[in-house]
Amino acid sequence: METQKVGQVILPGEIIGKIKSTSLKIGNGLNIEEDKVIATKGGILQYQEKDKYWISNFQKRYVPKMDHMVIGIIINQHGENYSVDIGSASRATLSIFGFEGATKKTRPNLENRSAVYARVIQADKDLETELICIDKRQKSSGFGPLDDQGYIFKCSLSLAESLLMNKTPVIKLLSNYIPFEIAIGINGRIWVKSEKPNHTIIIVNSIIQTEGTENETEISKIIKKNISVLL
Amino acid sequence: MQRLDSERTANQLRSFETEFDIIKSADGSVKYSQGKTTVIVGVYGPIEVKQKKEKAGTSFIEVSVTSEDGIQHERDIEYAIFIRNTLENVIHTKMHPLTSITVAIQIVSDDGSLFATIINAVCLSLLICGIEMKCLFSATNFLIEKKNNEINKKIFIDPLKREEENQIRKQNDNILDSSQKALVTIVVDNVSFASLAIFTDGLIDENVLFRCIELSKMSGKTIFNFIKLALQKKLEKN
Repeated sequence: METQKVGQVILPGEIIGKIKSTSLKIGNGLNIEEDKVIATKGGILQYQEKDKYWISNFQKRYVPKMDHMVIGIIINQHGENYSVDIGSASRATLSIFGFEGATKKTRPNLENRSAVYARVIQADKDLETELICIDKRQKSSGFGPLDDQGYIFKCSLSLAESLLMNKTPVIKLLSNYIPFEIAIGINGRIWVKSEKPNHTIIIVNSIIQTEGTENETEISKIIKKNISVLL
Repeated sequence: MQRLDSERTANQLRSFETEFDIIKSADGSVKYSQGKTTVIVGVYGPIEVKQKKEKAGTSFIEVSVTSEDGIQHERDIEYAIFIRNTLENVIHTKMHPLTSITVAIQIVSDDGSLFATIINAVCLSLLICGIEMKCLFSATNFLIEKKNNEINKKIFIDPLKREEENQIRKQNDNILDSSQKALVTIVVDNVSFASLAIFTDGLIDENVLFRCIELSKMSGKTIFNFIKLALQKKLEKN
């Protein structure tokens, strides 16, 4: 597909271009009708190497996709499944065997309202969303229950995405001043754990206030201003 | 071709104004005004649906309109049904089966062309919410007036409350001799500028309606340009 609209503002209904090769991959906000690619959402058209197109916008509501890393909150347990709230339209299910080394005898006992960091393994509009807490090599590698000493806050989907793709240096700059643990869910939830409550407040404020800026000097200025309360 | 707010011509729209994200819990919210008519719209979706309202294969669209006094009048229910029928044709409802999309509309102030203002605000908030749509849509209100001693009917775009009210009083008093008035709301899309829906109140001739449809294409372009500009400003800000 060839188009000159990359980087421009697109409105729903706009024709982006015609399909020419089978290597075309379309993402968020694009739809195929006959041989044309048509926008269904408003935002900026993005392009990545090898014919990948999608629209970036400021959506708040999460729609599950395969292999997304999300933070979920356990609502209740039905037999061998936990039902988990991940901020989407329907609840997701997480098997009690979906943890590293879990068997019928040794399994994590999670209470209601506790948080887990999980991976989406089934995301279809007609089927139930399924989560798992192990990676493809059957290792936990960061997935699993999150410590209840931490703090979870909500942010926009675009901020979570830019943090996961390492577009903003905010976390790297913050780690120069305060030691902390962080888990970022692409569903717009961020879990932070640090030694003191006021450290957590500074981390949360800095992440929210630097939304939309990728400039390193600007971000460090905001962080220094927040940190100055501690000194 | 005199207007009651004197500065405008017969086919000139009032100024638009918009503000995004004014309801924090909503997935997309907008405060939109045309002149002194202001509405607030919040969109929630796709969210979980009650089993009673569940629809197989498509998402359930729910629209509610509330007046300034906090009560749902008969007029508001009529508006809500009309908007829901329009949205069912515009939104890709098959993309999120067994979910619901809720549109809550609160009228803040009414100074004429209320219905068109509501529809434009709904379009903006759906765009901000990121709901898959086949096209954008915009609406324009027209006031058609015919005085007894004149042959041609006059068409006024985006009428004021005072201009509209004149018509209602005449109908109630059954005084048809001085002037006849009718109101038309036409919704157009942004792809082919074809009419999606037409809402009429009063008697209108065929050729007058066709003239209104032609005019709605022109005003639609203006509104779509405004929507694009507003979106651009928001994207730059973030």
